[in-house]
Amino acid sequence: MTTRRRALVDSIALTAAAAGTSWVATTAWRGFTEAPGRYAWPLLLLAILVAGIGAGLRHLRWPPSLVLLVQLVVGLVVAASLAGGALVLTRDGWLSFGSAVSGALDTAQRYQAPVPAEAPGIESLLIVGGFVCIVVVDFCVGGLRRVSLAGLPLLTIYSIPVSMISGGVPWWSFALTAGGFLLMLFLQHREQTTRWGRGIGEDGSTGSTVSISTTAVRTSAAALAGSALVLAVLVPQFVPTLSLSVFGFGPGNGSGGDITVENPMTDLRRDLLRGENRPVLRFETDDPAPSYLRLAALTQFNDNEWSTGTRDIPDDQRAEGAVPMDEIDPAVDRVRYDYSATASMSFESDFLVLAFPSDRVEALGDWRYDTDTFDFMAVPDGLNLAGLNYQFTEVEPDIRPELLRDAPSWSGKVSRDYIELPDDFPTSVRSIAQQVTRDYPTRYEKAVALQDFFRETGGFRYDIANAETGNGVDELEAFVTEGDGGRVGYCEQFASAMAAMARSLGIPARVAVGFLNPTPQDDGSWLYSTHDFHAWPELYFAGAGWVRFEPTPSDRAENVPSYAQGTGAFNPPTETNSGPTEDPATINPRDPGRTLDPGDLSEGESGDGSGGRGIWDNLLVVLAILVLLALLALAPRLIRQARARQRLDGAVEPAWAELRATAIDLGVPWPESRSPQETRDSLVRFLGTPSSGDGLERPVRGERVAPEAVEALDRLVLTLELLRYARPDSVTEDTVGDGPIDPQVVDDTRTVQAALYAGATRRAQRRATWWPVSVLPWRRRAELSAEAASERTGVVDHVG
Amino acid sequence: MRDALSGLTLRGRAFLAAGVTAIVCAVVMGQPQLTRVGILVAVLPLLAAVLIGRSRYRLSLVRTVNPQLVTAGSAAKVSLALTNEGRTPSGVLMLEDQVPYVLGTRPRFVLEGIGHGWRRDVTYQIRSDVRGHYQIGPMSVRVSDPFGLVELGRSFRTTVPLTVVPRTVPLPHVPLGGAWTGTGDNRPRAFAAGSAEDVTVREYRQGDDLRRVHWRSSARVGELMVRREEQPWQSRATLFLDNRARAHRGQGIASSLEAAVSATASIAVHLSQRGFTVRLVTATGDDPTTTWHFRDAEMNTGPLLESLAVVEAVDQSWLETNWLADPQQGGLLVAVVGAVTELDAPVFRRMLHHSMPALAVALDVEAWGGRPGSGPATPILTGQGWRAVTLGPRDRLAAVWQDLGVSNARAARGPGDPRTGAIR
Repeated sequence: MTTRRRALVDSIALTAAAAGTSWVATTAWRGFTEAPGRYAWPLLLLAILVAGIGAGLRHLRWPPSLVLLVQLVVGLVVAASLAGGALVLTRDGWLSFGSAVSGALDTAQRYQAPVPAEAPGIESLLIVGGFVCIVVVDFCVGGLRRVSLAGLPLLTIYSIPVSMISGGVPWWSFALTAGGFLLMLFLQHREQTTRWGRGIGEDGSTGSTVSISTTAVRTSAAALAGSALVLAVLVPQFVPTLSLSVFGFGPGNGSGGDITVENPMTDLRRDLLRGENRPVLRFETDDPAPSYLRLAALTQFNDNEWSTGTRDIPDDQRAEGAVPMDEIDPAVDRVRYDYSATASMSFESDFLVLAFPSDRVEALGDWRYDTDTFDFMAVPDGLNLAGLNYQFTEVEPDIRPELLRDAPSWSGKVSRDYIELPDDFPTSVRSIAQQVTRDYPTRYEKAVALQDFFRETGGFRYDIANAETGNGVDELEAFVTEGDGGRVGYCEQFASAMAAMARSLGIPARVAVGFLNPTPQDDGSWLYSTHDFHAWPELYFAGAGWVRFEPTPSDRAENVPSYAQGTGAFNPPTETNSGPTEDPATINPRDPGRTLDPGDLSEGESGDGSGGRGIWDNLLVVLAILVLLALLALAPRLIRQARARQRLDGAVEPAWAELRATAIDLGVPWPESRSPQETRDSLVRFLGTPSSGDGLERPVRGERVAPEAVEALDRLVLTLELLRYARPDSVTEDTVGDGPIDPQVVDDTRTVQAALYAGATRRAQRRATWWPVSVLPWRRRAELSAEAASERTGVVDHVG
Repeated sequence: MRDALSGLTLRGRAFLAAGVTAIVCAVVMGQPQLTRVGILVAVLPLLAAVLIGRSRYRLSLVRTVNPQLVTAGSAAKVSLALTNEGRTPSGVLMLEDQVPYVLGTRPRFVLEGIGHGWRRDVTYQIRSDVRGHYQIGPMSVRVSDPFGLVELGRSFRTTVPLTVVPRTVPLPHVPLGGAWTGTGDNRPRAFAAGSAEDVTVREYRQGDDLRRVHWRSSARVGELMVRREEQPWQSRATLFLDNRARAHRGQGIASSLEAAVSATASIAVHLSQRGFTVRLVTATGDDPTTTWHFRDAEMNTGPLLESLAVVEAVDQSWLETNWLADPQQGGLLVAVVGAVTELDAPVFRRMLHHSMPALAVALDVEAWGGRPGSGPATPILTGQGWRAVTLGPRDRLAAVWQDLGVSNARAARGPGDPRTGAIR
């Protein structure tokens, strides 16, 4: 085999691997459509085309940019033709391609992945996008000969579905792509080594150009790639992800955007006032006495009306099962009821009718919720509640008055928007609210007092026939003030008036619209009809979440919630919620630690302090980590200094050890297990003059430049040799421990150390000062093992 | 393992950094699917480092160079015997022999999948046009993983010397004068010059005349001994090479010094083959390592050529003359000189005083320098009584040597002709 042919084979193999890998990578897009074959087979054709053009033209030694151009032009024509279904060079073909692309864009916006096979396909987008990626990969591998760079387009292919498809990418797709990438790396490196030199491997073909890649290397490559792949597939399952919203990314903030919906209050008004009584919603439940089901919450109060405001509904918050519920204190007992509801065909609501709170909602279609109100909205145009059958699980918390009364400040837990009032909110209404609640200290008691004011003490009358419609500021003032036509209304007025007055008292409030009191049917199910529409206020109490109140007089709403009954407010807390039997399923794992803080119960606090506490906590943690890091960074230096003080006590052996540590710190070679004299000979080459200024880039060093240090070193060596090698009785001084105590030793050691420092570069000095390696316990072992390793492995030569 | 980690290539380091970044981003942003990519990319270099760090191969190398002494321009063969005494290395071994660049490209070999006991002999050729003393080796070994993520460098230690000696040309037999001429035999015999002993004996060799058997010695030794009629006396020749930088022109291989060295080498070989014991003297005086060699011609030329191979231009203005004081001084003197100034004339006169006859090959160094100058040193030398010829850049040494012989013969007949040897 000639070298040229071999190069051709190599290049074809690499090109084919590139095309194959990029095609395999596009299998990650299967989740986008229910008919993946529609884009996969055209892409395979395109991959073969790109690889063929690339290999052929590169064999003819065309410049890479030209090859890329040809690939792009030919490939785009073919890709567009495949996408449009007709040759794109003709006018019809161009038009059909255009319509295919616009249809695909439309579908991509309308449908949730996977796109059903019946819908106009998104293949054209996938084909063109996949083709571009294939060409880029081919250019990186074949043209630039940089396989590592090809990882970036492959990563692009892979990461698109990661963020867009809920199920993500199947593991085998990832493994195949990664395997292909590693194969390319292997092929390229093999080609490089082949070019680098003659192969004289085990195949015995000395000097020949036959493939040098032997089985042993292939085996180790396969083992390496295989274990890396297995780790990559298995390990992520054990890696926790934080789901932090850093810089506004992360879950809960994906695409979706704000959607303004039609105000359900208009439905309520229309159906309650004018409509005949039509069935709206039939449901079955194990709740013995179902009462309230909510349609939507109105969060925004402006001059004219209560409205739903804008909602932030990311596309991963869908009616597909569990719904987070973390506003209620986990210590609160709760009962769960399952519901299965079917809406009538005429009920074209954009909201699901649900119990609040619910911790499981399953409905067909793209229903999404926002984490403020937990209203479920239909996102696509044309989707509504009519005829829909869906299931949900109500959670009925056993909220006790004590919990509400002891509720800490709400600030930081809900937005301040919930106490926003219009600028021209009438002062008369505000003063009435204050007057009614004057005698009650806590927010909860104020809320109960307000409710009682509407229901009993205020002289309000429920009259749906003679009421003024509307819930704006003017209507509110008219409804609340006594006089002609005053204090007459229906649930809309009662609910909005109480919510507004609660807001004026600093209690977060909103208006809920829904149904009240279903009619039991013969078959055990329940039925809501249009006249069951109702509205009520929801007030927020930390630890209990949004709590329903019932200001509408008993003509319409017979019962008030147990926790909002007037008597309960004035009872002393007879029992606490200690030791409740918790249902593990209802405890939110993400927030197990949120508990009630009874000490934090000051009325009318600004709320800013409590909100800022989180930031301070974070700062403290960061500060603590920083201090810890600083300590860790400083530890070697401190240990080193302590050891130096300990060693320099006048004895010569510790001084010698200290000298060795200094040499190791500075990176000066210190011959281990050599005689002091030999060490001295090695060391003098690194001595510098201390006075010559610190930290030169190339300090002068050697025996001549530091005569004093050399003398000092010689004295040290002599002392050490006397101690080590002289006959015991020949040393006359009193030998204690490691040798005679001699202040001269300390001075000499200092002199030599200073000379060593002066002989080191600035960088080595910095390293020795701040990160002395001699304190590392494995430092010495590493030296030994390095010697041992060089004996075990490596190269041996014999002179011949 | 630690050195394997430090052996991460740029690609390996980039992979590790990218992988760690990807993992951190994936964890922070809650995208577990991206963790796969990060782990794959981060783990690969680490696994490769483990693999390479754990490989326990043990490669041994025996290197031979044949011949170790080559003439400039001719090739020598380097043989490598590689043996793996350890286990199979898990990576690719890339071997590169550190050959000086003047000897040619560095040979590179790729070893893959060599098992225990694997052995291979590899040869490659080296050649140099530049004389000198070279070290071949040491062989450097780089171990790389199959993906090019880790690369560890190791090196053998031994080197093999190779001496590239100057080119020589065969010179014609010319009469060199004195007692050494005229026999027609290339083994000069100088009985008249005195002998260490009257009779020396040696072992009988096949072909010796039986009449030369020295029976008394044979009886004493127990073997046939013959009288030795070849005398251990040897004719001596001193070769003087002026290697002062100021005496030469030109740079590198095209300089006049190289021509002078080459001429000296040719003369040395020629004289050795004619039976002379040759020593080399340069401007720095007598090199103790190149003193008289009492050996056979082939044995004699080797060290001579070796020392000529490493002759460098010296930056000194005078000529060292301590070798003239050598009591053994005498015999033939051949000088190869470059530019000679009047200051050097006394030295050459002293040389002449000690040695008769004295021949000189004077290089027309200005011709090498590419500019006209003072001309060759021939007139000065002949003025001192030397017999000198001029060697130009395009002259053939053999022809010039022939002329020297002619002038020598003429000088033997009568007083020197001033025009002699002025051959251009």
